[in-house]
Amino acid sequence: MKKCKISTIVIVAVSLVTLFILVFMLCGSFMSYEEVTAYYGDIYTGGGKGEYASFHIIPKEFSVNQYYKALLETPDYLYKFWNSILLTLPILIGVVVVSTLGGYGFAKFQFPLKNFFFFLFLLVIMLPYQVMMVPNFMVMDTLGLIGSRWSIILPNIFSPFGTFLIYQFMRRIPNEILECARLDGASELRVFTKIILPQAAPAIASLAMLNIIDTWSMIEQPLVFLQDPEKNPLSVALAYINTSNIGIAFVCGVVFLIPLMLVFLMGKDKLVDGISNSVI
Amino acid sequence: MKSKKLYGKLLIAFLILMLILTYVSSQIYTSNLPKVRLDTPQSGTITNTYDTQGIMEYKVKKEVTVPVDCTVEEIEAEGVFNLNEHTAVASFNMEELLLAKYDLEIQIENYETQMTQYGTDTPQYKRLVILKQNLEEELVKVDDMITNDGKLVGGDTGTIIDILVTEGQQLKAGDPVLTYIPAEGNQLSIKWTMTGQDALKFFPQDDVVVAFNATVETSAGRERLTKNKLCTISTKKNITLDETEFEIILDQNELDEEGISYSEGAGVSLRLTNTSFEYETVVPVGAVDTENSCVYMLQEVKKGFRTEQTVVSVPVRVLMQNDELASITGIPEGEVIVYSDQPIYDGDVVNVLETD
Repeated sequence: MKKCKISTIVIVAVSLVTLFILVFMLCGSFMSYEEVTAYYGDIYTGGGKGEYASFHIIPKEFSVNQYYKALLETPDYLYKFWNSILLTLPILIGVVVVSTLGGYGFAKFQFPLKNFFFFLFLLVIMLPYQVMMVPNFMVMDTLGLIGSRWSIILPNIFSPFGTFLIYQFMRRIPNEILECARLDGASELRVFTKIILPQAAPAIASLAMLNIIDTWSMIEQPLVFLQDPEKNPLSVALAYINTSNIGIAFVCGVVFLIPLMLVFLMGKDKLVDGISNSVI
Repeated sequence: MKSKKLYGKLLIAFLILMLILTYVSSQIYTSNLPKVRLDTPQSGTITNTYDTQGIMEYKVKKEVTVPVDCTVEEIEAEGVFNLNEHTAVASFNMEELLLAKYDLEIQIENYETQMTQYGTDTPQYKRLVILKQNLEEELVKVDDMITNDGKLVGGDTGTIIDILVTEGQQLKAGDPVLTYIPAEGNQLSIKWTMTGQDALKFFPQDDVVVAFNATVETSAGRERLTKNKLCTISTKKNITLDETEFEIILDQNELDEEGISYSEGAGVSLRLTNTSFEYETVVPVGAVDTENSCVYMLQEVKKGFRTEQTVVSVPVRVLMQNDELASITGIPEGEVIVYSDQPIYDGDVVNVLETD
């Protein structure tokens, strides 16, 4: 009973800390420019070096001026949002297709050097992305894709982690079901679409959600591969908006967060299902 | 399950909202941009007028002189304007003329005698021949005067400017009796001064030929208008920023045909119009940033989802300008910004207005 109380207290405390960031951002977005600058401007201008920013959450005066500036006065920040969408959507579709097929292949087919290739996959998962960036850059440069969105989309479509996740999940699907279907005359495509995909839906949903979160927040790849500030997604733009206009940074933070929150709320059950069934 | 659908709908609604906001904000952004109008530079002339006051002068003036020393008895040309070969200028003392004639004849004989002492190829002989010829010419003139009862005639056609002698005046051989402008081949010059700054603006090149409209006002107060005479500005070398004297040359005959009366030293109201030179690149004067000596052109810059029209300044040299047009040099081919509703600078993003 005592253990339960302690864990509850820890969870509540962690939740409050996490929520504080969200509340702080939301409240900051409704402050006027003057108010935000007065309380937090020094952090970025260097005036508050060595000092703490004033603790101030509730706006003195409720203002949507920052929203007007960020979302109506200029389309620049919205273009960044659409840049994020233009990167996230193709990567999501590609990852789902490639990882599902790859995972299915590793889980249900026998072919020469299968274990070796799978080991290679695991090896790539273990490598940090920063290590992969240089060879990726060289390949994209050779293909003449540096500066284009494809230089980010293509490497991200081939996700070892996604293949691994789907592989883990599909291993649990009994081979007998597949055999039965084949005996009944189902083609491989039919087996895949009618049996494998419905069964693997939670894993695919988890993969999709994890991928969206990962791609939506990426920073290094656009910076290195796009080389054009106009094509940068909102995640990259947030970094410099923070230093130029903290008020707008709050608004962009909210805009940045809303799609992720809605996606998460939409698929949180499947995310848990997919991850837990892939692991067990 | 219901909540999942709700979140899905919310996500779609959010994306639609973002789409609408993007459209609206890009419209607002575009409407706030400076609006500019473009035009293609064309070749053409630039008419500049310059009003000034000039002084009229005769380019060629001649004199009627007496051939020998003599005394003026009567001025015959008093009140006469036109001179011709037979116009009596003045009458001189007959006795003095006869004496002068004898003197000349004796001198000629002396020369002839001296000439026999030298060979025809010697310098002394040639000198004596020239001296003798001069005396013979004078003798002819004196003979003519004696034949005309002592009257000296014009011997040329032209317009009398001034009579320089008075009755009873003793004259030496070669002294002028009057000055006149010969009728054939005479020219008038009109001189004026203007600052080098104005001159450089008006005459971009040293040897430019300008069309000339002159409203000539003579001392008698008469006014005539010449018809776009092409005149060479003769004093254009070494133009400095200081006051410089300029001159145009007019044929007297042309002025006579136009009916313009003229007189030495008369004030002339000048309106100079330089319409003759064809410039390659002429733009409206508003297109030139005179402070920075540049024009503004546009460059298409692809920025993410949109293509922006960005202002690029191009340094130019203004060759000639008036209130409406300017001739420039140094720009690449293409359209230049000729109008902007706001001040524009290098790198500004602008909205291009459709031309009417």
